[in-house]
Amino acid sequence: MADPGNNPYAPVGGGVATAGGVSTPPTEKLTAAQRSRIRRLSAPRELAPDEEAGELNIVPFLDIITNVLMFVLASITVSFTVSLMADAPKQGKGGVAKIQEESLNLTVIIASDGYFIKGRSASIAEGCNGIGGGRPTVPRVPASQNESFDGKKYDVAALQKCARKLKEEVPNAEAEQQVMVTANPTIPFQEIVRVMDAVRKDAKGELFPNVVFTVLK
Amino acid sequence: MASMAKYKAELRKITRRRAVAHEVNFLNITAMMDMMTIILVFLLKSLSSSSANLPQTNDLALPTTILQGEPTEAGIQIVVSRDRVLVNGNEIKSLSVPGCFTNPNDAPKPHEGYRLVFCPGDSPHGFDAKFKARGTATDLEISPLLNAVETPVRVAEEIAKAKPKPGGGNGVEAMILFDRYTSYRVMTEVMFTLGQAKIGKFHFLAMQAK
Repeated sequence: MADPGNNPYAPVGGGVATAGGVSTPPTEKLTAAQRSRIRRLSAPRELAPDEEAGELNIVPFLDIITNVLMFVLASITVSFTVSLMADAPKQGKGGVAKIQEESLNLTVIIASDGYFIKGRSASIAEGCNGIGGGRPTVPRVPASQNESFDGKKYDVAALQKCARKLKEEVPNAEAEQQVMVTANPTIPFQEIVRVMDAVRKDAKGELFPNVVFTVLK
Repeated sequence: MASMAKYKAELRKITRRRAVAHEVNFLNITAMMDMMTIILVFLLKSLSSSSANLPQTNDLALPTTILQGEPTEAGIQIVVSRDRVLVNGNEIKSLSVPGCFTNPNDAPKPHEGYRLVFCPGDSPHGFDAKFKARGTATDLEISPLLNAVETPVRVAEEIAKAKPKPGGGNGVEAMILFDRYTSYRVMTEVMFTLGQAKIGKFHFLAMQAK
């Protein structure tokens, strides 16, 4: 049996044992050994260097991520692209999809002096009124030097109005979807896109959404 | 001499008193960092695969359109800038685009906005006769371009065979990026040549007007 003097937990000092085994000490004074042990045990535990933070210090990493994110967000230029569908160009009349005699067979020719619009059998006259050739159906209109090198630009709005008029007035044109677009060799692509935009649809709805490019012989 | 109970009570009391309150040395930002990293990864991924990062350089400025819709990125990518032709990002070194602007400094810059300019009457409107299949300027077929698209078309056909599209229509498609000043003659020659290479459908890429 251990010496009670060396055991600080030992209920030494002549306590009175009861029937339940609980002793009632005659005095509540701590011994020097007990006080020393309490001091030692109650001292705050020193944390090891690796467990001091409890986790990896990722603040520098976070700084980098935040900076990169900022620059990425700031450098994004919001630009939206659109796909314009078209079929392969056909050379001459032979390759163009079946021409029905009773259909409109609208053709828009972009020439240097304006748009020429042709129907089934004849050219549309200037101002989109009746039949007549020689002059462009929709001539170019005055514009600022910023818009055009020679002070004249294509009248896309008038072209669209004419396409709507033909769609509504020409018999059997209501169901027609196709328009043939051709241009002088020097016409820039932007003008082609403008014509495609104009003849595809307007505020009232679809006009001629199927654009086919052709080449004049 | 104190009893065990007294000793333990005293120990608990002093331990409690001497305990150092848990100090928050730094903010726990792990969750935020996780979130930001995920956002960054997705952002970089979407930027790299989006058509929004299409090159808008001095020799390529897309036209603007009022039409709206999602851009289709399917098909072989053909870029026809003011001086180069690229097929799926690979430049056709042997092919030079006919210049509308004899002096490149005269050409409008992409940031300047579009201004209607016709090529001068004596400038070449189409590709040079030496690039044509029949050796004449009036011919529409551009041999170097036809050769360059052969392999991509074959690959696209094989893919279409192995993985047919749900809605049918397994024809090879092309996404074409023409500069806004590309002349109609150059356009038709390029499209005709692609048609000869069994490409039947074209998507022209344009910028949506504001």
